[in-house]
Amino acid sequence: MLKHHDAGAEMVPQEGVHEVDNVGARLGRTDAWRKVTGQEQYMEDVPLVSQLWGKILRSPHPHARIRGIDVSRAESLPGVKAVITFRDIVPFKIGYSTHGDQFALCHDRARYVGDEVAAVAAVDEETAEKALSLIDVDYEVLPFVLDPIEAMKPDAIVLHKDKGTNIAAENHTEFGDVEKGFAEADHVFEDEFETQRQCHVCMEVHGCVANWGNDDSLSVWTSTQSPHIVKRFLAKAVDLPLSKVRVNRVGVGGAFGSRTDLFPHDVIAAYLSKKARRPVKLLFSRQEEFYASATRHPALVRIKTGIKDGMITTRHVTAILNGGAYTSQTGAVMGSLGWKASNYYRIENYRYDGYGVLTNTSVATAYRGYGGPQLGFALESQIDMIAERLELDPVEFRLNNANRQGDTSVSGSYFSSCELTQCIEAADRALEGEKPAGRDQGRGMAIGFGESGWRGAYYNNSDVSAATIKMNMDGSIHTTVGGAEIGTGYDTTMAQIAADALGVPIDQVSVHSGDTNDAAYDLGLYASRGAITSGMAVKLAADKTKGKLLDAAAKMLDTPRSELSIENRCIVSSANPNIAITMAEIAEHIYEEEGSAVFGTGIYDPQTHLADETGFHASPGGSITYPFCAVNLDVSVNRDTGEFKIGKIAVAVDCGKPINPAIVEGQIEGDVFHGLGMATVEPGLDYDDAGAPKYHHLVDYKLLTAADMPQIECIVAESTDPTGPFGVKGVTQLITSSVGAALANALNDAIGVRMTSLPITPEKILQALERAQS
Amino acid sequence: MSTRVLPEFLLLRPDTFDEALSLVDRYRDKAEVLAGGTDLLVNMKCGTATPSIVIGIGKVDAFNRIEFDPENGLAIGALASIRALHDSPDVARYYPVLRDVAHLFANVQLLNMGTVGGNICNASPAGDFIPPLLSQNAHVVLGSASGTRTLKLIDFFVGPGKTVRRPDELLQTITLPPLSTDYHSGFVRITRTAEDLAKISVATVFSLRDGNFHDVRISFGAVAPTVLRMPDIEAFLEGKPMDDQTIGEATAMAAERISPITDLRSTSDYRRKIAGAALRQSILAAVERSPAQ
Repeated sequence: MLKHHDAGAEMVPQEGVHEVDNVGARLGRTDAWRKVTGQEQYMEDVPLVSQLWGKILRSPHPHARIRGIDVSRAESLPGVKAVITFRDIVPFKIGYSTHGDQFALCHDRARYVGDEVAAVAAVDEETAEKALSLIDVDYEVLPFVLDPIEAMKPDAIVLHKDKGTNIAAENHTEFGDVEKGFAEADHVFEDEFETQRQCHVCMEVHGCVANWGNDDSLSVWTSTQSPHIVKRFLAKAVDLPLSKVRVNRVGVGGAFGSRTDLFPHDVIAAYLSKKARRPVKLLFSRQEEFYASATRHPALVRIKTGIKDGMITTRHVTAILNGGAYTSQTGAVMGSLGWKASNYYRIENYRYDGYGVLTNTSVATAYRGYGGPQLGFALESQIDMIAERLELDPVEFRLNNANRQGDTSVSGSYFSSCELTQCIEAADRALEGEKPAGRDQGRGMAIGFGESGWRGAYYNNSDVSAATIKMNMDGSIHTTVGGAEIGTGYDTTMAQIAADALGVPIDQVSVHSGDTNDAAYDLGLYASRGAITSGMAVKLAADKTKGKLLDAAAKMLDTPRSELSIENRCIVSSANPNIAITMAEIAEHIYEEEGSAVFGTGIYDPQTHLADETGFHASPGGSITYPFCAVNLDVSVNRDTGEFKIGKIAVAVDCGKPINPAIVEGQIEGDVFHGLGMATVEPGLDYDDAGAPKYHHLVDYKLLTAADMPQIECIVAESTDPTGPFGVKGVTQLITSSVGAALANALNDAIGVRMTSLPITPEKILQALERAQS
Repeated sequence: MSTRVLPEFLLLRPDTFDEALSLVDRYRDKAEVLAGGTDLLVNMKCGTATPSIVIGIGKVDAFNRIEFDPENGLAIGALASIRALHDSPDVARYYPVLRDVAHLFANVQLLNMGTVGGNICNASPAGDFIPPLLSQNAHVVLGSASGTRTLKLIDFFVGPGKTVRRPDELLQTITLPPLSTDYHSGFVRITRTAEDLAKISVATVFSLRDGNFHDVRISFGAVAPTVLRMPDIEAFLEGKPMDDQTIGEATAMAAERISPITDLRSTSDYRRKIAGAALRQSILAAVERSPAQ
């Protein structure tokens, strides 16, 4: 079933919504009023009495030995309440999963411009900044390496001596017989692509507000996607029992993968507060946000593809990712890139050689798409290049090789639902009648593939989410979930699911997320898992709550439980229409007469598999279900200036059942924004010859704004997936992976030049046109 | 280095024009003048401006005006916001290209806070208002305790961020002569995004007499240490027919008359390559616009 939406279509006001049809309804966001009126509390707004300001002293060198740090001058500055170095903190290595290799404050070595060396807390920001300038660090400047290819060489400068190599992670996995596949192929093509170090550029900068109590308990307000993950590792980093650490709910001003882990600044804020015995607020400047939060992995991707009888049979993907100075999520992103490549089309043989390499640059981490955008640009560009060389229609070529429902990919992912062919056809049709006829106009398509949850992140052999539902005496409900509202409409989605699962009007549902003291352990919001894992946990919690209500009603009404059901906010008997009781009545009865309470807890862990030693997952894969998409766009090029204009982008996505079409459209538009920024204007955090980042401000590092965005047509190719709550699948990042290739393909269609590196700028287009002419 | 914190400074806010002049005279190099603050405050946070004294001229009413009369043309006070210029019916009618620039200018916040005077005194070669003002043969009136002087705008700029304004002087007014209603004007700005500084900008003013170019004035931004007029190209076009061949020959002259640099926005090579195309777009935009009514 296809549903076309024009972005910005009118929303149904929350009042007067059908009582049991919230799932699937275009509802306004439950957090909208709070956010648009400025009531939402972000880190900057957290009001704590006698709060100090924290600031971090960062390395000005890309690589240096720290011979000594003298903080005495800073400590004696009036207004300074704490100065800390590595001597003040537990030597806990921060990182992702088991790959921790970063101390919150450098011990004897700084490894990139921005590395945390010392920190201060003072009565105001001015004093804190002044104190930083009074810390004397004795650096011995060391040779450095910025380029991952250089860093892989045997004689390269090694960043982490204990590792003995800069290759932080590698993956060499084969399915089928690649050599035989290429030998038997009619055609073999090999092409190379490159993508830049895109920055997340969250509207809210990173930071942390920490309050170390005199009872040695720690309370933090940190803008995060994963409150429980932060709590878990922060407790280790500050050496407190988990019961003494609380991550509080706070507004999240943009995340996109950049807030999935515990970071040095969280630990630093905590220790500053511990030492000063006062609350500490530590917020990045915009410049710090660029070079000291984290970035996307720049990547080199080489793809070798074998074709037999017009079908893709064999693929060999080689990827080199620049992970920056510390490992962070480099191994996982590198693995995800290779895993995604095995799932894009029906192929028989697949080999992956992936390398995650450390260099003296800012740390790279999760970023919307998680390896997908780097891969998608390469893989989907090459699809068009192959189609052109073989004189095939690129849309037909994609359709012929597309995955379908019931397929199991070469690496073992089982597609319990798949409407990819419908997506391709719908995105193709959406631009029909707008066929660019003029000179220098073109059209290009790319497909996308993604995950809905991920087993095995953060030490866990799980992909767990948790929720609790508590019904009040008046029949209204509190829903507590372990994830966080990071702007994805999580709270609203959970409210819709809870409302329908219990048959309660949505305006009587409140959702509490983001607080580790409220909710049970939940891995958080990443890998497009929120709607599916938290959604399922909410549904399970609702089912248990419903069970309690029905049990009590059966007793109260003296009616067999099997005859009772919930309809129109009442519990009714199917055998006798005269037997009915409102939810409020039964809830009140339970509280008042039975001396009990109405609540249910749901824990959901999908039936997926942990990756084995190859880094790949046995069927059905690491994710319980998989979303697909196709992006199709028109472009016109000015040959004189190399400028190009995108006329319209059609995005067709198979995200299962859209719980809230307006939220799905918001995600599609956000996905296009990040993909198009990466494809066109975002330069990436490039470095100068001295190893310092070139970009510090939004004057230099440009983002697209509303004025730059093309018209987006959102098409939902709805599938019926048997796994998630109401058949939902993830929809927060796969389209980002498709935009770059769709643009490159459209440009090639328009002017006959092939762009193989991102971003695609007018400068590069003019150069390519000149090369084509000569 | 950029911080969240403005460094400490003394803020002086004169009420009258004379008071403002006496303050700049007293503090000279120690002081920076604050109009809209859209450049100065950013530079102070980045550490590229470090004034110990800031003279905020926001309360001086004499600076805050946009006046037009058919005899003398347009007078833009140093404090007139870009919003005021954008909303002025006189500007829209008699100097439509200035309204174009105001419309393209950055974003709503900068439109409301930024001033034309600040845009000029900041003297960025990429300053959006400078090419169109040069092509309108604008003058600047500088005031000081010892009197006023009037300069051609083209003579005001010395280099990036540098002007001939003395430390004891304030920009008072920008004046534009009246433009005969048969003139065409066009502005083109090539940027990375809608909200950006120019990689290159071109403002063109001319009249057409029997289909021939007359009184052509061409200004290029972001291609040299200062915004440039193009006297050679202007002279070449004088009296020639407005056709593809003439425009083609004129635009071919552009690349060798500029000395662009490579910066974070673009490359020297690219700017040179597109200079002609930008000029063509600017001429065509001017032709397309009906002359002022």
